[in-house]
Amino acid sequence: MRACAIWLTFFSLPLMVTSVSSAQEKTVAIKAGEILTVSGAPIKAGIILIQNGKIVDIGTTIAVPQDASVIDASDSVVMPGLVDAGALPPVRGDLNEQSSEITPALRISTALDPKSKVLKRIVQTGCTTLYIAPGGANLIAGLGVIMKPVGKSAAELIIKDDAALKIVMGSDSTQGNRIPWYEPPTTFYYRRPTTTMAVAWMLRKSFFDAKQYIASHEKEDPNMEIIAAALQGKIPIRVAVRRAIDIRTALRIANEYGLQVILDECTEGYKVAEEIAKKNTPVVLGPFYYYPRTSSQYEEGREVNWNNAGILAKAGVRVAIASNSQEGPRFAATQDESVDLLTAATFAVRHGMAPAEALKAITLTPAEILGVAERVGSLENGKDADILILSGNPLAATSRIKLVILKGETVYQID
Amino acid sequence: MKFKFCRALISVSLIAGTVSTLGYAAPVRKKLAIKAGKIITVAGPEIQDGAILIEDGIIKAVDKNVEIPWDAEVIEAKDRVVMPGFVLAHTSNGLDAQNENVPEVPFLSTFDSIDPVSPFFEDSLRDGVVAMLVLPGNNTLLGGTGTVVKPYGRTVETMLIKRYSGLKISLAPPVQQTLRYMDGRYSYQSTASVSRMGQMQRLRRYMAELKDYLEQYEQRKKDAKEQEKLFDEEIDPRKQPMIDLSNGKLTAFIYCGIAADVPKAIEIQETHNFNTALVLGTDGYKAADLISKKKMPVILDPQLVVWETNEETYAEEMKVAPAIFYKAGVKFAFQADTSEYGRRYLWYQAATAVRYGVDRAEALKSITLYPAQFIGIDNRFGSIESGKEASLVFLTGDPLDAQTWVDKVMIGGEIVYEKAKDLRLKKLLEKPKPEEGQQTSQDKNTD
Amino acid sequence: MSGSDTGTSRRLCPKAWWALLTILSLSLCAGPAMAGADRQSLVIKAGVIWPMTGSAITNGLVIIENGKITAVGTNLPIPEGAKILEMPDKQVMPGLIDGHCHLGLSLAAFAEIEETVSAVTPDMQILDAFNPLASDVTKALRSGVTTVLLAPGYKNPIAGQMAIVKLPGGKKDAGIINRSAGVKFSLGNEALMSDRRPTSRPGLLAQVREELNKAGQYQEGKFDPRAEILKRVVQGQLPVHIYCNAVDEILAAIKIIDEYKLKAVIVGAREGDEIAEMLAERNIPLIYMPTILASQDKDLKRVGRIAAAGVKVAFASYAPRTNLSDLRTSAIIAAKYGLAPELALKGLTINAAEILGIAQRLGSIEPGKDADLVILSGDPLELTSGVEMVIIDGNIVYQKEQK
Repeated sequence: MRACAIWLTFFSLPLMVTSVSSAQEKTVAIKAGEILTVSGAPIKAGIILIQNGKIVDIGTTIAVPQDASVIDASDSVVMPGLVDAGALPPVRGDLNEQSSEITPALRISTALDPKSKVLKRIVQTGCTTLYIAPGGANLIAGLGVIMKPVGKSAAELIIKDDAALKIVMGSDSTQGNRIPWYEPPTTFYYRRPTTTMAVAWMLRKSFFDAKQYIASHEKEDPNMEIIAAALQGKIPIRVAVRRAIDIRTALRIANEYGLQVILDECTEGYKVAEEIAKKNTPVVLGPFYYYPRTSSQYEEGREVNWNNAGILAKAGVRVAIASNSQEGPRFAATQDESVDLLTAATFAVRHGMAPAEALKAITLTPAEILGVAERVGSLENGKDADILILSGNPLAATSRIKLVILKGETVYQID
Repeated sequence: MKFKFCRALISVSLIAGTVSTLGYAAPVRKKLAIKAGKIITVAGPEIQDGAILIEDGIIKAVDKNVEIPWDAEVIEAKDRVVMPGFVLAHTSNGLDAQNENVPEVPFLSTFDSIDPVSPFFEDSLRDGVVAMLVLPGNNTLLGGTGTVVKPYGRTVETMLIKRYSGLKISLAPPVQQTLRYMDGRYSYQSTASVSRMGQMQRLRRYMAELKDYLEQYEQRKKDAKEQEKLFDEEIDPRKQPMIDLSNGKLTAFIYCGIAADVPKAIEIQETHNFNTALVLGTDGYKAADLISKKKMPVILDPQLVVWETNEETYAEEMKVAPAIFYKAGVKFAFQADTSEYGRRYLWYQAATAVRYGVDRAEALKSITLYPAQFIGIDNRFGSIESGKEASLVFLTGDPLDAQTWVDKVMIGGEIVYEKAKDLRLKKLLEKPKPEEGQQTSQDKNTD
Repeated sequence: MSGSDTGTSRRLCPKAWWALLTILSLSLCAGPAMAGADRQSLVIKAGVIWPMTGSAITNGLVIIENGKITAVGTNLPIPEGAKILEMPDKQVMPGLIDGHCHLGLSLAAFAEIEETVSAVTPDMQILDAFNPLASDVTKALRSGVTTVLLAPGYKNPIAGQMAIVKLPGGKKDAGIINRSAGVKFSLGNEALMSDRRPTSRPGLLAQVREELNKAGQYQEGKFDPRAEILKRVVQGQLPVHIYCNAVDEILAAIKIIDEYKLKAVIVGAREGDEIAEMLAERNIPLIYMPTILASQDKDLKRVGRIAAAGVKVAFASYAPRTNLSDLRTSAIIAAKYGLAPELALKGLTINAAEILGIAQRLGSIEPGKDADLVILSGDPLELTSGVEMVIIDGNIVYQKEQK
């Protein structure tokens, strides 16, 4: 008898130890009124089971383990955390490295500020994965990074570094550059490009030089290394363009070099939707403008169509909707204002996009474009438990985000 | 005898006929009946499958079961939601210039500055606004008087609903904006040239001088009477608006750029006993408790959601102005901002309010009845009730549904906007046709 | 003169020569003996002595000979002819060490320390701008600070070489302890400018990495003073002091330290408490910003937390941004907001000496170390205590006027 007791105690010790450590292996169960998986049909009155920050099961008849902490969302709608494929960077100071127009090796990931207000706000608007890039004043602006909005240091935030090379076409990179007409060149602003022609020329030259670099097996030039890697398809290329003529130029150059690119902003994409679709080029839209602008020395002109997203989607283009706030009009008031994705998607539907497409455009499609769809973007087994709980249909103007879960942890909750 | 009678009869009928042809005789009463799937009266409960009777542009009756006169033109709107047209209680758009660069010009009127062709009016009508108070901007201390107009008409006179309505006072110091090139981009740099202290003192001095002027005027009048002399001096018309403000004939719309201006505005109201409405800036919600004690009408900034950093925890908190004012028991109206996403629409402002906890009926009143009350036109606008103007919107769905569009707008019994005929909107929503010149022979293909 | 007389001869006789020689040699000996009156031993008897190694000594004494401390303790034999200073109500501690300042510059400080035309200037030496006769240097003597680290400015990512000097005192010139004590890097947003690279944070970090990479590949022979200096940095021979304050700046600094295996100190580190474990596990010491520049009460609590996490902390005055006499004030405020008092005192003395690599001769009252002492009217961590006397290399360089 006593021996039994001793043996029992001896064997139960490891169990006690594991039950202490299993507090870290958290099991969470969400009982939802409606589950919008995005990858499949909506599930009414379903349950999502989460373990160790991953989704392990979704369905209507699931056994909820005893030790699971249960979130009762039976009067709510549950959907995947949003993926912003062009978010406002959480970086202090100027985002633009003005000293040169060609800065391919510039990495925004080196300057991440984990305490940034931008991250704290973006979580509350439902964004759980974001892609950020350097500023848009340079022709070849540098390397972007895919990250989560919660973490203490860059190591904790980043999920994919060197995620894409940002190229900006159109006339943004010509801003500020001037020719030494009657004055000696006193600052680095006396340089190319000063016209849109030069933008295309410089891009081609950079690609040409990179090709030479690859062929010559020269010593390491960090800038050339990046462009070379992009040309060889090792780093995705994202080209920011607004006007139809620039979209065409971008596609033309991409074609010349056999590149598959992603188009950002694409304000006039609706004019050339078929051409974009033919090239199987995905598009990350944003920001949205109600009114057209005429070209001036301060900014690029653009025409608008409110149903840009819908027209592109209908033509067969993969469309993601992002905030792309820093690409906004040159007179953008502050860096603090970022458009929330649910509002962007809601209005895309209003203007003609199909609701299912619009929901995908802020979840699964950007995840696919960013190359992280195996872990985020929809509610499926094995994916990160990045989940939003809303008071109603996410595309209704009166719905509110009540809870945000990031990798199984609740990171935001309304009182 | 018979002949006389026949002659009289013929003359009378001839006259009657002529007169009626000329239309001077008994006016033809235009009767309308709108049969709507849902009617949101704002004044009472929502009505399913009801009807609205209109005569001569005035609502005669609204109910579920209403007898429709045989001679009424019936407008079928079974798949529509009909509600009062939206009212905008304050805007400075649609003007040639929003501000005069001299600080004290209460005698100016926006009536002289409204540009009927401004796209702002076209957009407002398209978005369901039927009445708006156009006031001067925020850069002038005593900016001038406002005009209530409908966003429909080719001239200001035909747009006019009510002239000489509201007087704009701005406590924000006038801001100069200069275009600067810095950090590789162009941006506006603001430099305030006068301080808030200066604004308040200017106003006090103006009111003191006005008081002196009136006293001296009365004195002169009295003297003239005593001396039995003719007194035909008129009050300086440039001072009249401020006098009317003091007499309650005008309402002061005081712009408070920052929450700290609200106590100043209250001080002005208490000192001079003006009818006052507050036009708030983005942080106006901070003064909610202060305002709730005064029961002053409040017009919210177009930006309803503001982020605030908590000083203790460094957390970012969302402050939602309508929710805060609703909790404080303050009546408010919304403004719209045509450049920003959802903020462009008054119904979206109402939907945002509902999202963050405001009661649906209150939110709907804030875009119809309350603004009408604030600008003094609630006898004609703001709800569907007998006696009010038939200025209504026909919506494709619930007003707070983001998928709802304004299908038709009726002003004074006349349909003045139809989405189906809105060519500009069509162009903005439909795919451009290839022959609209987007393709040239050179870049027909990008291969 | 011709002929030779018997009896008196004009030539000195050998005895006289010897006498002359003796007198001369004696006077020569006497010379040093008289000079030795300047090099007299000094004994300080004080109410409290804070040696910084070991506990405080009550009613003890410090014996100074030839400018060095020869003994400290209680009941010690006093050397003959020593000058004795009886200060039973005073407290003695090692001369304070300022971890980061810009003292003694010929022109306006901030014109001298910011060489911003070029962003990368490791070959600049701050000592070339230092004027030991400047009035702020002589005035600084009454602050109790005896050794300072002079540094270039904040607007260059790689700003130049720092120097460690002892304040001038007595007959000697300013003691240069280390002409090139390390290279200063600035990773704060102060280093961003709008018309010169870098203009953005990512650009700043990219530039620093570029320069360190280039330095790693530098070969002797080609004249490139910048690369030469940075090569020594990359090889760990020359320390770097990295100026950064916000969390993201410190994290970026740590990343560079890890990548290039730099021997590094972080200067400023205002928000260092938020990642203190990362600093502690890498043994990266801190020279903390002047606490009197903190704008919020909660910021004053930070340095206490950093030290409690095991990070070695010293203090800086950023003079002339704050006064040198505010160095001790910084430590006092830190102590009032949570820094352990012992660590506050050590931060002003021995910890600073260890961080700056001068602990073999400075930072504590121990036999063999330089006799740099400050005597206060009371507890060094009380604001009401004033500096009564300052001794550098055994010489009294400042003494408060007695009324």
